[in-house]
Amino acid sequence: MSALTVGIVNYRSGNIRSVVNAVESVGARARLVSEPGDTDACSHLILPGVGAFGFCAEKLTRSGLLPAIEQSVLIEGKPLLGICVGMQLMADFSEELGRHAGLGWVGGMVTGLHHDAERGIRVPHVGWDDVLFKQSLGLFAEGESVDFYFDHSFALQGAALGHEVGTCHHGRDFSAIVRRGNILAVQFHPEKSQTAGMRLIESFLAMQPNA
Amino acid sequence: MKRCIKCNLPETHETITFDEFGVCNICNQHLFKASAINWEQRKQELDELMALYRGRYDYDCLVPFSGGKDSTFTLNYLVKEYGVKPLVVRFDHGFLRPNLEENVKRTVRRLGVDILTFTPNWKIVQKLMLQSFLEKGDFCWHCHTGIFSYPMHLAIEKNIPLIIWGEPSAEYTAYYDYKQSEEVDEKRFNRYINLGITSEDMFIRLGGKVDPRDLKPYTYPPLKELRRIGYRSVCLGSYIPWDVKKQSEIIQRDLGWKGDRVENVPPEYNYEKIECYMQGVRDYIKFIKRGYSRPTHLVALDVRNGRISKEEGDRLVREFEGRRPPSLDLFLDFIGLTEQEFLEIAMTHQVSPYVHDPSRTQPGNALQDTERWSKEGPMDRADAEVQIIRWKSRQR
Amino acid sequence: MLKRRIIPKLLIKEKAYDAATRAILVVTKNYDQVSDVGDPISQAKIYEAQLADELIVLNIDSRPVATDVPLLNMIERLASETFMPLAVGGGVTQLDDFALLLERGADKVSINAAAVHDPSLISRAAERFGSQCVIVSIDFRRDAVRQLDVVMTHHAARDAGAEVVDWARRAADSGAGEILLTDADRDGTGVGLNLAVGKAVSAAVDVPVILSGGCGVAQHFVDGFLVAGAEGVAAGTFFCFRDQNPMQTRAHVRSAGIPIRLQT
Repeated sequence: MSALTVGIVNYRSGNIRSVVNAVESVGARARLVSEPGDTDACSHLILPGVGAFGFCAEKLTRSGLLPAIEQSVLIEGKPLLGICVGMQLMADFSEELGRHAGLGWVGGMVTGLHHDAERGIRVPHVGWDDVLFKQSLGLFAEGESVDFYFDHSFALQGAALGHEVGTCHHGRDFSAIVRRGNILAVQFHPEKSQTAGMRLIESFLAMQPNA
Repeated sequence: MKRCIKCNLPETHETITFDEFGVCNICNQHLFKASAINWEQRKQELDELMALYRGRYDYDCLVPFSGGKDSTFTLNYLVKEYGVKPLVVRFDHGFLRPNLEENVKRTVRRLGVDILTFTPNWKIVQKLMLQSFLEKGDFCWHCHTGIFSYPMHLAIEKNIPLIIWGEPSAEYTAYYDYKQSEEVDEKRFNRYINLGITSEDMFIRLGGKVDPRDLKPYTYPPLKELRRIGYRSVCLGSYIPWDVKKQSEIIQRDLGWKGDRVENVPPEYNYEKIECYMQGVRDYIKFIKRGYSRPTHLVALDVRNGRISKEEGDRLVREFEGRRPPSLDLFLDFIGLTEQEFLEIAMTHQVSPYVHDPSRTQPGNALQDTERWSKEGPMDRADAEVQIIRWKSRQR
Repeated sequence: MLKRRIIPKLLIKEKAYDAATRAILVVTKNYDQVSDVGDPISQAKIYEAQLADELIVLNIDSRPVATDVPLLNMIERLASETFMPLAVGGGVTQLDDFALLLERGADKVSINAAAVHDPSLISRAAERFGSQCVIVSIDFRRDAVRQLDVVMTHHAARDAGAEVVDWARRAADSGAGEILLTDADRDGTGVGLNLAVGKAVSAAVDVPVILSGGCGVAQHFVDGFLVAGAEGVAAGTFFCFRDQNPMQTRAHVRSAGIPIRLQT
């Protein structure tokens, strides 16, 4: 673990501090990716995201970091973890406040969750909810059900079948975890999910690059 | 009150939950301990741990010690099984009983170990007892925090990184379970040991009217300093299956350890909680808050281990539990309260759904060694009032 | 299944201790009597060790966030020393305050008087940061004369001229992600939550409601979840002055059959 340097994309939209803290507490080094060149020294990258999709997408584009990230992740095959809106950004498109194109890296579309008074479903989906692991991932076995902390109103669905690692249900089923090769994306906040969250981050750091 | 159908612990027991059969999580933790743990593997892990630290420091390990059954067993086990050179560390909470002191003398002389005892400033202890009783319904904050902090300071000071405690809390509550190894660290200290109050918080709760240096024995040292010495702080009970009855017999046989009567506890449980002459008051307060106390707890353990029937257990509980301990009078002197105030304060801490009825309380029997307890240092009422008045102004 | 939440509420005031001014954790009674209970960072770490589901930190000094450097530094320290969801409020009046707090590590920002004064702040914040970041905190009192539950602001000193259910509905419609509902009359009294108003507000909105004000025994949490339909119950005084911690409360709630996180 100590050899790993994890770059956290700093595009001014996300709770960077908690992510840094979480990465360091599992024994890896964390550094902020604020300039394109910052990705070079990193073995893994994390794309956080808090806020409305459109707002975040614009910030990411304006940051000028996208080419460097694409190079590291798509070409060099470095593992990437997308968190919350960071996950959603990697979808094909999102319907939050208009239709916005995503990066298309994990596929699927981001649509709104709907409240259902009869079934006690409220939106946003806030709090601890269980994620069912459809596939094993690092320290998590297939079939395991684990609580993580969610805080969102939009969620990914329609990712390719083989890519869905974990599902959650809130009014409807949605993808809580998707994985496509070296890209891992989670809807919940592992940096806020205490022990379970740390296990998830450790599982991510155990992923190897696939060039 | 809802109760576990197996061991009879009530719903007011800290962290208790019941499964779909009405069996409590503590019983289920015991089942797990008995059936799902590879104790051979755990023992091997302990062998490796001891080997890692042995012979490299002035002492192979630090053993926090009270002289009660758990720490005596732990010390005996480590010395006999591994032949280690331990530093034995005692935190004197102020109420050590005469028989206990004789036990300690006998134990350390028979085993041949170095022992350090620390007795904190009594005047500070009094303030702390009163404040934590008022605000948490538990006057032992200084003891809980001192016992778990002071040895850590000593470990750093004397460079003894391996600290070995006795029983895992998973044996009695569900703050931890048996699935994980219970590290005796700051997280555990914050989770339940310090009653949700660190020394920094206590400084503020006392209105900043205490020298912060006086709170050092109750302060958990910074993680940075513990990491610097490469510390490991573990429970022996994570590596060998804990059984207090069996272990008490071993120390009686091997060390001539002697049990003692405790107020309002059946005589057959003379191995339990013999360290402190305020134990009777502690148990009484628990009864006022939660509607059960030491006899229920002891019977529950025996029922789980198949050593007593529920009916026999019920009989013991009915006879001994919830009585007013004679030592209460001494406690009131030490803390500067009247009995009326004591009851009033304790009752503000009741845990639902229990509702205490003081009119049903029967007197309990006095202990034989009461005369030998120090009565020195009663609380000055004027001092106590400063804290009491501030507390009262906040009540409904 | 979504779990209910037990949320310690940390009220912050700046006070002088040891001849230095520092952020102190306090509790209040009827938004009035203030008692000092501890150090915010120390308490946050304790709550984290006790597996609290999230924290709400409210600055009750009437100081605008943008210039409150000690508070911002404290929030930053808190966010970097704990791994729990963090909502921060008190003195938030403009959109930039949201950005400031989120940057320092808060996950959600709570607004109170500013939202009453200008409800468009709610929608503007939701648009930019997403509703899940926006909590509208509503304090209320019973007006016995008019037989109404009225919204109060400025530490329950000013009548905001609105009825609580109506305002909650408008706030949710404007884009609030959650409603934090506190009965100022019950604050710090331990008599139990206001289940009637809690239930009315929960029924009136489609967003999660966090009920607060008056928890005295663990049963009150159970009632808040089951009777009032709250998704979260926030408590300040409860954990400070009783032999109760979130883990004990959680077990009690679970024993009542309510879904709540139990993992250690």
